[in-house]
Amino acid sequence: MIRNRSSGCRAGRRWRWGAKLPYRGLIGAACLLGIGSLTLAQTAPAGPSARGLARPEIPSMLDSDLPAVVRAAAQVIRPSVVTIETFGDIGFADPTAPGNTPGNAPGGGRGPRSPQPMLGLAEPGAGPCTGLIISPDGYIITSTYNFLRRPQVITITLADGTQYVAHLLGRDDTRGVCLLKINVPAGRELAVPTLVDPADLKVGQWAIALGVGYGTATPAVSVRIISGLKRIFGRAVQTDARISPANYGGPLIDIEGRVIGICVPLSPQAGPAPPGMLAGAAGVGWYDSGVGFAVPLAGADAARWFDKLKAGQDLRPGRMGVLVSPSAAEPGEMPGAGPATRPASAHPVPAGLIIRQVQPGSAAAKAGLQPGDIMTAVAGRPAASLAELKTVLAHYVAGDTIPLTVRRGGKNLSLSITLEPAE
Amino acid sequence: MLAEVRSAQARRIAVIRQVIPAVVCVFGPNPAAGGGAGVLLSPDGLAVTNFHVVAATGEHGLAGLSDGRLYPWKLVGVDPGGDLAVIQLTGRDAFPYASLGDSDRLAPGDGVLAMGNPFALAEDYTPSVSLGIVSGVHRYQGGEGGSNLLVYGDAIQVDSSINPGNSGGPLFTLDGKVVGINGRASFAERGRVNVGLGYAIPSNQIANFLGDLLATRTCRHATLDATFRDQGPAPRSRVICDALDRESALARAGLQLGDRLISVAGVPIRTANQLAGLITTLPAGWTVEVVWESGGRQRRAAIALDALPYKVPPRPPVPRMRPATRPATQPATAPVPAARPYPDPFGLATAGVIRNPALNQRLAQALLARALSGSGAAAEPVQSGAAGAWLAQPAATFSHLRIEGSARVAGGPAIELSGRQPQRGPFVAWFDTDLAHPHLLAYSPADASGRPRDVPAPQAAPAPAPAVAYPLAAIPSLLRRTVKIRGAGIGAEVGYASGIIISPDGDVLTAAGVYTADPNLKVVLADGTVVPAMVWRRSDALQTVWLKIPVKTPDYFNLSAQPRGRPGDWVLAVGNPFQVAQGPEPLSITAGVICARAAIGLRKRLQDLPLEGDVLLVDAIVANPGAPGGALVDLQGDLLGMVGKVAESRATGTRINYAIPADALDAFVHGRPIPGVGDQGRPGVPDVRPAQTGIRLFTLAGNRTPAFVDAVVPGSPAAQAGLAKDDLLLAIAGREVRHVADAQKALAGLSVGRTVTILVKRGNSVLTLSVTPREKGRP
Repeated sequence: MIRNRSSGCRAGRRWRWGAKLPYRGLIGAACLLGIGSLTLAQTAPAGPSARGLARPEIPSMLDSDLPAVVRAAAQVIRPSVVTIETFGDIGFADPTAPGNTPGNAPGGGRGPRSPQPMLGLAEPGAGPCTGLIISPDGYIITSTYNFLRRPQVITITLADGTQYVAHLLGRDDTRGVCLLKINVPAGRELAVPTLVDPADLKVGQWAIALGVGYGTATPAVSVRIISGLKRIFGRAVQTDARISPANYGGPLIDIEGRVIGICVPLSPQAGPAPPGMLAGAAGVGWYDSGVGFAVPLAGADAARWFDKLKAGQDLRPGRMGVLVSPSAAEPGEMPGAGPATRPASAHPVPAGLIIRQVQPGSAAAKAGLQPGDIMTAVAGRPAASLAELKTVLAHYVAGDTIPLTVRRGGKNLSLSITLEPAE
Repeated sequence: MLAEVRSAQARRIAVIRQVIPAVVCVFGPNPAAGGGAGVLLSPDGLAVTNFHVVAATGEHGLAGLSDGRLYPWKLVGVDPGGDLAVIQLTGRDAFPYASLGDSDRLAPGDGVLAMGNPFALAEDYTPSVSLGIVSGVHRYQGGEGGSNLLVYGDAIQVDSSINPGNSGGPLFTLDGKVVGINGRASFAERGRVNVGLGYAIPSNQIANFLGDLLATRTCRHATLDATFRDQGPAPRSRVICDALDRESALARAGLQLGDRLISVAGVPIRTANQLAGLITTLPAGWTVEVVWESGGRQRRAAIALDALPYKVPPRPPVPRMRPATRPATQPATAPVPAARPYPDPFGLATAGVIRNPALNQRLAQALLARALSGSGAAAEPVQSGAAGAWLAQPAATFSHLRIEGSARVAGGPAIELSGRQPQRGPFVAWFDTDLAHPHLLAYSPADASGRPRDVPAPQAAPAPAPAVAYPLAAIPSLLRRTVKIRGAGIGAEVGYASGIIISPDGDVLTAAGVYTADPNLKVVLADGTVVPAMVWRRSDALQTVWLKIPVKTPDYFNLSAQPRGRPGDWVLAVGNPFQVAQGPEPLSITAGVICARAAIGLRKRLQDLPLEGDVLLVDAIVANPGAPGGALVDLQGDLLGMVGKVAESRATGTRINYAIPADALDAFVHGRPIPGVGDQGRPGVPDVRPAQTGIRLFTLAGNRTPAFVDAVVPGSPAAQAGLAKDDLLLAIAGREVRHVADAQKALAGLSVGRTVTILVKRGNSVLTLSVTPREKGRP
């Protein structure tokens, strides 16, 4: 079979299919000619390569039993879903609301949730937003997208139509959620949803997002699956249900009506926002794209940041202030590669991150880190790559103090570092 | 019911868990620089990805698997024309792998799973998974810049989410077979973010090129050295030869200009576009049977497909410094401009040549060893005769092994391998394209120069496969009841859309748009017939236009069926987003659920749309150019509504996916009042007497301050309603009040005697008060 003919030139052809034998004699022949050849019919296997004529049953996505199950699950969660509306122009803080400081409002002119045009939106909307009751005494969680600035007045409408005034407590910029509180009348207990343990989640299970962002009395639903677990450095569940301002702050539930997480806009490039965009708006450009995120409420981390938010603290991503590179790296090799790729000779340097630079005045400088140090463990966990370091740090926020194990001059040192907010 | 849903869900979870270990996150030497995806097809680490992924990363790099580890990979072969590449991972004894399915069995509506690494989100290298349906098959997406590179000539269109980073990743059926490699998507104003249309290279095309890829060649694509065009109007058009190279195989076989083409490689040819798409799936060098009609007689011949050359763009000369050969005290020579060849690491200019003979030999040895060890699912019994004796030899006795490339054997793709055996001499063997369990298809002794003595005949077309069954019986009629519409566009507004047939007498509804103003408006029916259309009526409230066409249309939607559509119900949207379907090609189908039914404020960019009444909000993406006017149906095929024109929600600021409900359309068409629209039932003459409520606002701080009540006139309507000093006005008559100016405007618009609701904040409570304004100046 010709393989080495240069393109466009026919002269170099040696032979072609069928050229040796008169073609017409072979029409309809189901087998090879010649001695010693095998007939195709005898050797064609019944395996996956055979051209089967019967179409095997291919399952469909469109499970006809699902709609009723979706409606039932939405009913289960409905009492805990609230509608949030904000009033008052930015630039004027309600002195009665805790946590409002003059520095929150850089000056206004437009609605409380629409400071500047954001990624993918020509002009942000002015509708209500969604929240979820997470405790019977009136704590409500929602997305920071709706609270990029501190609005003057916040009202909550519960599922039964009763309305309350709410106060904004803390904001968690690492996860994109914030906490509100309403004063529940004595004797009234709010409906709290059941949470799913993140360890029980499976890629491929149905996921339903609920939100009131369109202004409907009953939350609108969007249905798809869980696409990935532990995204954005372990902070979020990924779904291809349509996540957008219509349901930011609302719950992502399973088919039993249990909460998987709170829908929020997130992006791996979280951190200092580009100029002209407020922190917390990153990720909204991916609305309705089939890449959406929900932040789980269950788990050990959740309890910790819930307490901080209750106390009115704003949580920001913590940074160390160092430039690092993996200690085991060689050109073309990355840590985490399989054992077959490691050179035969044992590497004398311990696995970890080498400190290349320490920013003056940063958390790392205050902790006593020096260039040349090798960080072998962060908060008790190994971190041999930048991705692993970011995943460990994702469990902490600015202000947390964590232990470090550092190798300097052949000796192991225990240091502790208090993370500082990224500016 | 919950139990059935749970068990179907569990089956899907199990399939994903089984195949996801074979999905690869493909990076260059530095994973932080981003990359694409791929899928492993054999335990020795051979994986398929897109050519444009390896073109960006280079000839080697790192690959992440769901076990959390990185493995080095090296490039094996590339197919720049079809956007495919094969890479080889190392670092493990046995890699998990997936198997190719039959992409010809796919039908619109079939469920699919797309896996890959969108936006490089997989920090732990566990790929992202998205569920969707097949929206269309045999779709054409042309090459980059009109070239013959990265041509998706026979693509599977899907609505599972495909984003940057999904490239090269597999498309699975719900039973875990790879039916495509995802590599392209339609993007528009939102930038490089999925809007519901993704395209995958079908697995049958991948199987065609697998042999050439494993031979470490830069693959070449086929050409007939002739062009064809449609003659006559659809649906009875013929495909005839328009231009013919005199040296071509077709000409030498007797084809003449004007002859009508009937079939190629066993596939009946219906349109010139279809032929063009089919040819892109075939490798150069194959021989296929072509049937044509010449002077009333049917003729057929085995045609050897020529190679389509790649155009390598020229590079301007670059000044070059000569290395210093003299002592340092002398100045270095001045730069000498010299024309340098364009860097061509993938061998576009020398496509077809075996680039890496050593790698080729290693792959040939591995393939043969696996085939002889009978590591297939069912071990084949040794055949009697010479071939059986050949099969019984251990792999180590074979020498001079080489993968020659792709071949077509028994009507399907094969991998051709040549070599020598001590007792038997030179031979050529053909294996099927299952890399994990290769089976021998044919074998032939060869002469000293490697020419096989017996050549598998170019098979006559295999017995026709049964018609592909749609997963939903309603789909074929949906495709006949929905039409394509062509008109003129203006600026950013496109001139194409979709429409729904609502009666047997040529009534079509579509969404309002500038194209409806075109006097040459055309409707294209499902069979490709083009008819002129005339605007009959418009509804501003529904942003809908009613057209008349001069033909009878036995397939139509019944507007009075009005199935009950509740939130959570499945919907299918049928239409022509991005004009993917041309002429008689079937429209696109996308699936989703009803999110809600509600009245919603819409705008187009910054201008409010006068749309009134309820709409059906859905999570199937229909907010794309070309989709408005399309059908929104339930799983039985009954019309729920008509897809609305592309717009944004005033509430969320985002593009909104919605349809005008069938009951509103029905009312419009029959001249009845449309539910929820207009000022129906408002009696009497509007009252223009100036109204007052007795509310005095605190205005000293300016117009943009919050609307606090400074005083309430005793005995006034506000006093009677219970309003008090220091109350903060939040809303008046349902309109949000953000500051004093809003409040003044709202209060000025009230009417005497008409009670309105005022929402106020008092302390920590929100109160609703009813105020009935009195005439100003009257007590």
